[in-house]
Amino acid sequence: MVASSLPSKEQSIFKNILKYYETKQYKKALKCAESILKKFPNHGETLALKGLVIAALNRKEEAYELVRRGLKNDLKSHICWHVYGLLYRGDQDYKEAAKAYLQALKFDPENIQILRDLALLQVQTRDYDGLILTRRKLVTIKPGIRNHWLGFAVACHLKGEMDIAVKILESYEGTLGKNSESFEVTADRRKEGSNQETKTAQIEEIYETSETLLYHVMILQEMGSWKAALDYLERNKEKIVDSLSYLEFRANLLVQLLLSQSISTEEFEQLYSGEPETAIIQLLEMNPNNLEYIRLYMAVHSFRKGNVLNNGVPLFSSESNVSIEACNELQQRYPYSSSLERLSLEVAVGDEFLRRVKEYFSRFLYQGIPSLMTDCKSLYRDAAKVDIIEQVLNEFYHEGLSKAADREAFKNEKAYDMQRSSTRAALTPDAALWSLYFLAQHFDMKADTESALSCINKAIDHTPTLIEAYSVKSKIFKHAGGIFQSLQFANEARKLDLADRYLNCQCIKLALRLDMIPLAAAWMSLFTKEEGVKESQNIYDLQVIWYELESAEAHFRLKEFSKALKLFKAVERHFEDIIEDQFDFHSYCLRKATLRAYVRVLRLEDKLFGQKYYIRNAKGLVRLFLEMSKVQTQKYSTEDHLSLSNLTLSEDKKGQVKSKKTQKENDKSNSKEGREVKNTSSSSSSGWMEVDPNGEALYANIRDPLYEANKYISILERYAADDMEVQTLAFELALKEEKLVLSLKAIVHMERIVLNKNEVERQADNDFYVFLVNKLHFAYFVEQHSNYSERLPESIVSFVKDECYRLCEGRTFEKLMMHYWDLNEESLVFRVYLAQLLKRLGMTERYPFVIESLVSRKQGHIEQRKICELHVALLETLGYPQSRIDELRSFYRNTYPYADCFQPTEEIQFEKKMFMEQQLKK
Amino acid sequence: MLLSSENSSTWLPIRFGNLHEKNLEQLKRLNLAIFPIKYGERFYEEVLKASPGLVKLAYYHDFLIGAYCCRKETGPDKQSKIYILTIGVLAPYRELGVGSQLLQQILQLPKTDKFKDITEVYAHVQTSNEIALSFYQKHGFQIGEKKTNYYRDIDPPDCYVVYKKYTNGIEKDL
Repeated sequence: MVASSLPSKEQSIFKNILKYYETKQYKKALKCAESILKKFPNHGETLALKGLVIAALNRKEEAYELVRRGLKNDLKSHICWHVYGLLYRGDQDYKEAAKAYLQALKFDPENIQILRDLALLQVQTRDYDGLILTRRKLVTIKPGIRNHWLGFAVACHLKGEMDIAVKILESYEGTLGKNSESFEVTADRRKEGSNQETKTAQIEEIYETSETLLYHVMILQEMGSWKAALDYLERNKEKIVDSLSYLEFRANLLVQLLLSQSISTEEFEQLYSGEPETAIIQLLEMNPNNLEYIRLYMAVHSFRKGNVLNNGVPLFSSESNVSIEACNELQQRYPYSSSLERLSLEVAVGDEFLRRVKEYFSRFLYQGIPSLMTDCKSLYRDAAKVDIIEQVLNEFYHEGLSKAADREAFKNEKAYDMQRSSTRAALTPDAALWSLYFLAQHFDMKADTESALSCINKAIDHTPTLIEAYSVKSKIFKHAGGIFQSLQFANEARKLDLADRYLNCQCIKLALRLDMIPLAAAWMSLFTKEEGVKESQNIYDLQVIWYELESAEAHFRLKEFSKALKLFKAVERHFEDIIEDQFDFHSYCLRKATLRAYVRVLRLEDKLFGQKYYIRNAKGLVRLFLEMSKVQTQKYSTEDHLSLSNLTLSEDKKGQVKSKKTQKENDKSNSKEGREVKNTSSSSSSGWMEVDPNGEALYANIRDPLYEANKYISILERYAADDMEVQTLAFELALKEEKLVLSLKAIVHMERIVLNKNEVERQADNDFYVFLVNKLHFAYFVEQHSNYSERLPESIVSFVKDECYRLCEGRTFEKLMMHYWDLNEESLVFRVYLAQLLKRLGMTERYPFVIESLVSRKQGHIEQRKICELHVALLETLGYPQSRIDELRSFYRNTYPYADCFQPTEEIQFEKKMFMEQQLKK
Repeated sequence: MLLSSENSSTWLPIRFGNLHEKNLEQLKRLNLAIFPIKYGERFYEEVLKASPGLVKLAYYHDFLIGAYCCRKETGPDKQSKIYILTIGVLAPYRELGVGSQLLQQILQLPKTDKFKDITEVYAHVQTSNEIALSFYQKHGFQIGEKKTNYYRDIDPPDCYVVYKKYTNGIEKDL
């Protein structure tokens, strides 16, 4: 950077500012800047640079102020704009930063540094169109730099312009052979002296070239140009040093080419006769437990057997490729591959399955490996297999018992000789124990709580020191709804090994489910070694998402909204950090040429918010904001204030800006106390959890909860639109905001979810009834807002009207409800949901038969426990006499004897309290 | 040799572990399942503090199946003894050499520097417990005096003292 319009003396001082800034000597840099400003107080570029230095000293507001002043004085300076962009980039506001960079480029269009920085921002914000332009420019300006070519290729690849990406790589590689010396990467390193360094540089270069070639193959593969990819791979074989990747690519490509039938089978045989098999075997020789390799083999095997796949689409990972024949073939080669053994269980049936499952289980049994059932969960989809498993486990159990009995008999005859019974079983006196242990889990999987408990109790009698047995018992209770008993046994397990973090975490999770927050915190501190605010900061720093999420949900249930908000936000920040973390890789991966891994990381990040913890957290936030809005509306209406819905858009936007500002001010005042810290606002000296630990300030800053809720709904719609809960929340939100079109959209989506399910799936959950009752709610809403269509834009009026008519089947709310009632009144699920809706709408007295049916018609229905729980809870809120509720509770207790919610309330509350006090005392 | 009748190659393979606060509860569970007497908090406070070697846990497949607890005593005659407080194995794992392996650990102690002053290893055995008596005898213990009304809550209330003498870490032959 060279400053314009300064005398030469100041010019050199100006250069010093930059030098000091880059070496982080901010005080000196500041002095230089001030000395220039003394003479030229309005020199824009110096002002901007001073701002940059001030920002590094973490005085954000002042920094922005200075840079803006600088800009005002010198609007055409690329330096000012660049610095402005740097400030925004430091605050992780990449969109604004990119804008400023683009301005800077207007005045200095060929500034390499700015172009490079801009490219980083554009890839971070996934602005691929912009990225391609920037990258192209860089190549045009300086074609001698490798990274410019690679960056350009990656940009096109990400955009999906595969052909162009390949062409770019080709022309880059074309230049390589001729005069690779001219490439700066090499040249730079050569300059740097010593022999050793040159050597490592050479080795690195060999690897980087190899990676680039493999990246090229990856793109060709993604394009479906299997043949071209294979040819390319062969041509460059010598230069590829990652030989495992080479072999994997080759095997995959051969199989893909064969299966896709993009060339005729004859031609394939001519070119690659038998090569797919050889390539796969080569891989399996190295690792016969790799499922990917095994699946490749299966695919080829299945193809060779004439099972041509539909449309020639290769279904690699499809289970339908796996055959017992192929398993046998491979097992002869690799008898010790446990992956193969396990995989064969998926496809074997009948006696074959019996034989194999026996063999497989016996290894776990005789070696006492507790994880068998976790490993075999997927087999439980097949009822026939479940029966066989039960049979096998029972056999093991009786065998174990009889071996023990034999020993007993020998002993009594006093002729017991160790030699005689030194069989495998005699050496494993725990065979009976493990069979019981597995049987308990087996019955638990079948939801047969009684048998499961009986088995695990026998196991505990057999060996009362087996910690896992208590954990299994805890799980059985948990699955039967007995969370409190589950906690008690999890605690038994925990006490047996206080050094085991897993057992401790199990207890914490259950305690949080029971809303025993202080107890959970006390247990947590056993492993964090901190207490109070320090501890929550420690947990935050470690990104313990499950704990923060479970705590947030517990606080939410207890209506401690500000604390819940703080914790939900903490989880969200972890995800944002993960997004943020990719920033450094944009430059690093180009430099190291690890482009395959880089592209995979970017794709992973793109799907990050679809991760189940994120989804659960976002749902929690939406629920919280909906509740907050309820609280606020109540407050407003009681204080005779304007109701929130009367706020105009501009007003609440102002509210947003304001709250954002106060937020920033808070951050600033907090960080002021700190010494020189890094430039991001989050890394002030006291951690995020230590400031405002209970979230009161955070909570108070939420002016418009529905606006916040909308932010998360749109993320959820993007990543989990087919989740019934998401659509229900979207619907609730739309109703709250009285937005007809949005509520219609949610209902239509729910309809689609339900229609997309097959019969089995539909019976497995209650989505159908959720949809029906939401639809009724919608019909009611439409009726209440009959004049709504007047406010709609002309173009969609008729569409909306038609859809409403179609959904409501041309009926009024009441008629539609009666219609559904006639069709579904046998379903407790429907009745409970409907009663819930009527209660919400304040219409329980208008349709007393619905409510009445909840009390009178309970016999003969054994429906899902969750609905029965709702049923009881609903009766409580409807103000029925305690005796009726207790009666219903004891009725359900017959079906679900272990579930907490059907136990007498007072008793269980008292027991919980006692338990918590007792544990906290220790 | 002591164990001529048994072949140690068929012994159940076990691993020895030490007692500490974190796994104390395991020992409690074990003792509760094995012995007719319930040991109180005082007992566990003592064994927790005992120097290593005096308490050992036996693990099989990663779970606890047996243990012994001893105390080092110095009598009025200034002679040091090891008193076996408990030694036991869970029922399903008996007759597989676990108890022998545990007892051998105890009998090693006088051969170590730390316990070379030990002149005797001894224990109390309920008079009706023939299995235990023959177990100790098999390992070279002698049956000594009978103490009447030694136990309070179990029947019969009498016990024998079984013992084995040492000088300078070497067993005295019978």
